[in-house]
Order: sequence, then structure tokens, then C-alpha cells
Amino acid sequence: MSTKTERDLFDRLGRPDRIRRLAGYDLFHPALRARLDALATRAATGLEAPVALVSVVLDSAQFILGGHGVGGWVAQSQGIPAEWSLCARTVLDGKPYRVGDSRTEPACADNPMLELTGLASYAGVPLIDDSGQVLGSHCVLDVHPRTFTDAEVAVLSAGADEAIEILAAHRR
Amino acid sequence: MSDAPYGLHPPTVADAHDALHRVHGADGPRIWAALLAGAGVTGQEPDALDRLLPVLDRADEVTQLCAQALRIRLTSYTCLAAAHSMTRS
Repeated sequence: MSTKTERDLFDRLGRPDRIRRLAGYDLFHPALRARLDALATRAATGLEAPVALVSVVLDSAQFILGGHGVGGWVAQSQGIPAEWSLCARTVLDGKPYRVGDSRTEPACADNPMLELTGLASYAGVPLIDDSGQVLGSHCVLDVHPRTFTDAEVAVLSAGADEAIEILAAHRR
Repeated sequence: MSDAPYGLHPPTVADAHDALHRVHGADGPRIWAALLAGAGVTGQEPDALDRLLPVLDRADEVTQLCAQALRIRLTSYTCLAAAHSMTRS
């Protein structure tokens, strides 16, 4: 059973209009997933990061649609609980979010996902479709503390635009 | 050590109920009742969530996303609980 803090987060993420919009895409289509995997790989290569993701954030979980460098329990689950998701913050804020060093970032204190994966830094940008809904995020993560530059965030933003185009091709 | 790895608990029928009501808004009670009926459960059975999830998978697209979120949480719990158990044994 979820805690009140978790339920508050799930309520913010699970607004009916946002989830209805997400449901308008065929998120399980293999071709969509393959294209988003390729996009994630390109971001990881271009930004020299071990992990890159294209995700949507559902009400209580981050659902990874395309990924590079994802393994273990995260790969098996195809995502992570929303309360551990840095992308959930990117979605709720609707703007780029950067964490240079999770060990010194108060918002990341005691985040089990970071502890379990050994990831230390994050840069993510929102995926915003033509309805204005924030569907998810495109992000990279690194195992080392790292200052992501504006130019690197711009690369992610271009990737997010491309992810939205790919998603648009899979609207029902 | 807690049996909830990293504070993560497996999803329950109550979590599924909350999720369905959250994402369906005013239609939540009607849809929840139909899903319970479709699964042939009252929600009180020990295996109610196991029986509900396949019904959620075959329901409308919004409900399918609820099922996916619950499965991500369930698989995360199962994987981490197994690792947690190994490190304790």
C-alpha cells in the first residue's frame, strides 16, 4: 500500500487528461520501441554517457520506451517506481532538470534507484506533444558527477523533438 | 532489515483501485466495478490482483497503462526482493 506522499505524487502524475493523452499512443508497438532505442543510443554516444532513456511517466511508474545501457532489474521491469524517478520531476516541472552530483543534491537524498544503479548525474528534458501535455522525458545519466552544459541539454532537446515525431507516427 | 526492499512494497488491490479511480476520474467507480466483475473477484481474495491484472491488460487503453505501471512496480519489487533475500541469506 502506498504512502500519502507517494499517493500525492501519483495524483499529480496521473491526471486524467494527461493519462488519456498518453493512452492515445501505441506505446507497446515494437517499431516504436526500436526507433526510440536507436535514439537513446545516439544520445548516449553523442553525450558520452553510459545510460540514455526515452520514457513516459505513468501515474505510479516511469515506463522506459527506448533505452541504452539499461540492465538488471530496471531492464526486467521496463521502468522504475515513480517515487524513484528523476524523470518524474522533469515531467512535473515541464522543463530541463539537471543533477550534477546526486550525493550532494538534497532532492536525490536516499533515492534507492541511484544507490542501486550507481548513477550519480542526470540531465533530462521533457517530451511535450502538440497538445501541450508533458508525456515523459529524454535523459542521460552518468556514473560520475558531471556538469551538463547548455549545449548538451540542447542536444537532448533536439532528441526530444525527434522522439515526439516518432511517437506522433504511433498515435492510434 | 525490512522485508520491503528499499522501502518498496508490492502493489495491492487497494493500489489498483486507487490508480483506476485516479486516472478515470468520475468514471472510476463504474469502470472499477466492471473490472472486478470481469475478473470474477470482489477484491478481497488473496489472489485478486493476480486475477485483475490480465483483465486490466484487455481493457481500454487508459486502464492498460494502469496495468503497465502496476507491473513495473511489481517486477521491480520481485527483482529487488530476490536480491535482498540473497544478501540476507
